[in-house]
Amino acid sequence: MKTIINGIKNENPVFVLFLGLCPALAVTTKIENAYMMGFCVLIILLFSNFVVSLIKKIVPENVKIPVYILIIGTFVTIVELLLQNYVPALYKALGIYLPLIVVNCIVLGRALSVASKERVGKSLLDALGIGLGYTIALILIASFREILGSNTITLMDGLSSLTGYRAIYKLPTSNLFPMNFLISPPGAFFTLGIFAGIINYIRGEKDESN
Amino acid sequence: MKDFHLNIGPFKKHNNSTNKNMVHLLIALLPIILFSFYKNGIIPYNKGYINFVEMFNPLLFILIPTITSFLIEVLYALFFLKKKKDGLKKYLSSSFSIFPGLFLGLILPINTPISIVIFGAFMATFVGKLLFGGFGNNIFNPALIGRLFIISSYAVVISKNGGYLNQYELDTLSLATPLSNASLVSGIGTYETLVLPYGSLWNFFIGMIPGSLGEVSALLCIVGFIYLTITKVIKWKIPTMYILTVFLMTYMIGSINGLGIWYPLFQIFSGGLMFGAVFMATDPVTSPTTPIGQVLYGLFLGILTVVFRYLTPFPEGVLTSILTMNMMVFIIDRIGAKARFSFKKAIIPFLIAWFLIIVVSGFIGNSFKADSTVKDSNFNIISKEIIENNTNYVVTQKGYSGLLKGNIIIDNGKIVSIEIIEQNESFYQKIVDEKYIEKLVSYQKNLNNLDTVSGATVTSRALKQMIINVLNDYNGTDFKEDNNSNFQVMSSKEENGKIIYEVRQQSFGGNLDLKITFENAIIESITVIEQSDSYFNLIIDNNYIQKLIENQQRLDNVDSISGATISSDSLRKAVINTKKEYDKTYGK
Repeated sequence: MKTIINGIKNENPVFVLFLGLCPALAVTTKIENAYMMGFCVLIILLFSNFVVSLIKKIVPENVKIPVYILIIGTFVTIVELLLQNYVPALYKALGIYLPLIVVNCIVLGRALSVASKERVGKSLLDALGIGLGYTIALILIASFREILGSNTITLMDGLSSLTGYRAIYKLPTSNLFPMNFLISPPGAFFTLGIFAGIINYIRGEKDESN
Repeated sequence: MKDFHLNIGPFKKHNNSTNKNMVHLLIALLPIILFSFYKNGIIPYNKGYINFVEMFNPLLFILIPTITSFLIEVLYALFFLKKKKDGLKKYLSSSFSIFPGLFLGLILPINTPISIVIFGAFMATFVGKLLFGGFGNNIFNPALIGRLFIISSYAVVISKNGGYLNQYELDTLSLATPLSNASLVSGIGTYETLVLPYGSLWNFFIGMIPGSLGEVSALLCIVGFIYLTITKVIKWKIPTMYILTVFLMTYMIGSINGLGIWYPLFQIFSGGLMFGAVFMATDPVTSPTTPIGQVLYGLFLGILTVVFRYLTPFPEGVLTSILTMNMMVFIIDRIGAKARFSFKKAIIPFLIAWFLIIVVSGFIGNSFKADSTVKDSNFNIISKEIIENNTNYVVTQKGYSGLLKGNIIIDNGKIVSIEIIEQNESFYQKIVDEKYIEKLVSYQKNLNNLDTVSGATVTSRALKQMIINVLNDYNGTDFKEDNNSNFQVMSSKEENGKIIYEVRQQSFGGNLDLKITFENAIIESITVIEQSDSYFNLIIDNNYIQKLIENQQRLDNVDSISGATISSDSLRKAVINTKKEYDKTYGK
């Protein structure tokens, strides 16, 4: 339990470690994209950490990274093909950032720093924590950007080809909203900065009191 | 050599305290504020365009963001810095607390809704200044940050409200600001198109042209500049170098294109250049402190402004160039500090600056001469009929005093006849006398070598442009043969005899999702499920979807909406593609 919370709070990959920022900035224009991206990373993390942890003793030190990349790449390809078949709209929306999970620092970083050293159970828990932390961070950024930036809440749109119904809510518009700026790439950096600032401000205050 | 450690400005060189500096700045701004009140309040009131209360809108427009930014600073001091009574007073008297909002009010278009102005003042003060650590620590000019937020989010809202024009100008001038007018011809035009619509260059100098509240009057900016230089509040090198660089570069660009001395003057008097150079670029915190650094800063600001004005789609470049150069202040100050002891250290940056000035102005001057024929927003195709080998165009082109409407017949790629159906040009007789139309037909293979008619330059140029545009359209790729890789059918189903398509088309801002219902092979309704285009409201305002449904049998001839060309084109393409899809599956 502690490992999971650690992944969400103290070692949050986006807000604290600043890893995996590329998709965190690029796909977070809709809440749906954000949670699906987070979900994909979570699944891939779980499998890759599991496999890496199993074979940690038979992999020689000097070919570690190629072997891990290969393992991660396998799972990424599986997830990619599944998405392409069952939810093509989402596959298109996530675009290049889906295959790029292969070189996502979070997945490789966790394989190198945790899964290649710890027991299977611990590395699975770590993957769960980091994956959840990543998903939550993405959802936070995406909801801020989508609600203020395009005045909609997209909970289910691309997934509707799988589940059969849509859930898109429209909010009333006014002079101030939607703030088109937030949907643009600089808006993503801005949102990320604001959230990271707030979270690190709170963390900093806690550290001082400790 | 040892490293120099530079502290952050402002430095105390003389007896002015920051408090005194604030008073001097206010005194320098006072004439500008009063002039904007006169121009945007008193004149429209005298002419009867607004009532007595509305006359004070310009003053309120400046006052509200000023108060907002002051209040935010007070709250920040109370809650974050935990200042008590005396400390608070001392802090506020030396922190330039009202200026982000005040400057923001002066550089915004008059028709910005007040809620947006308050939001901008908040962003300017909080994000632009306080997040960096308050006065003295901010990297960027706070007011410009506020304007950047507003322009990047609400450009459409503001332009729908009337943009830069006040009520009186909205009625008398149907043009936008001089620079956005100039950007239609990619910055290089004749005296008649650039200056004459606004009167004369004198109007540019005293400020009787449309623009933001504070930035229009070059005269008052110069007065403020002199006052602030005498009282040693600002550094004279930056504005002088900045404006001189822009003048020099636009002079070169102008002379390459054969334009007179009025052209560089037009460029430095219009837009926010004067105001930005005097009040924004000299902000004590975000500008270099070393003399050589200040000269370099001014030079590079000028180069960037010219680059942004000509080579980007945005008409104005002052805001962006100041913000860009704000980031470089650190580097420039290091160069300046080293150069105090041996000027050799600064030679390379100066060489780079001069090289850039010459190359950039040469490039811009030469490239736009040839290029200005490619895109033309003054041109419109009304109809285009293809009968066997003949293509019959009916087009309009903006002339000197209205639209020229022409009927042009092309036979096997050759223009066989040009007929001007409608015109109300004042000097049209000259065109007839010179047999210019016949000349156009005979010169059609090398139109660039055809001279204009003296005495009717604008009209003859417009006619020539019209022919070039028609030929471009004729030779260019045909709309119907566009590939459909941007189009995708999401789903199609049948319901009570109606066939409902859900399609997705790539558009300007992202995906455009549509729901199109067919009944008996006729499009019954088009619903937009989702879009992320910035200018989509223009489509709704123009009833474009209704137009598409009405003209569904000849979709190729429906005009696009200026201002939302890509959005409207992709909407139209989506409908055309869906129709094809329908015809393929269900037969005609």
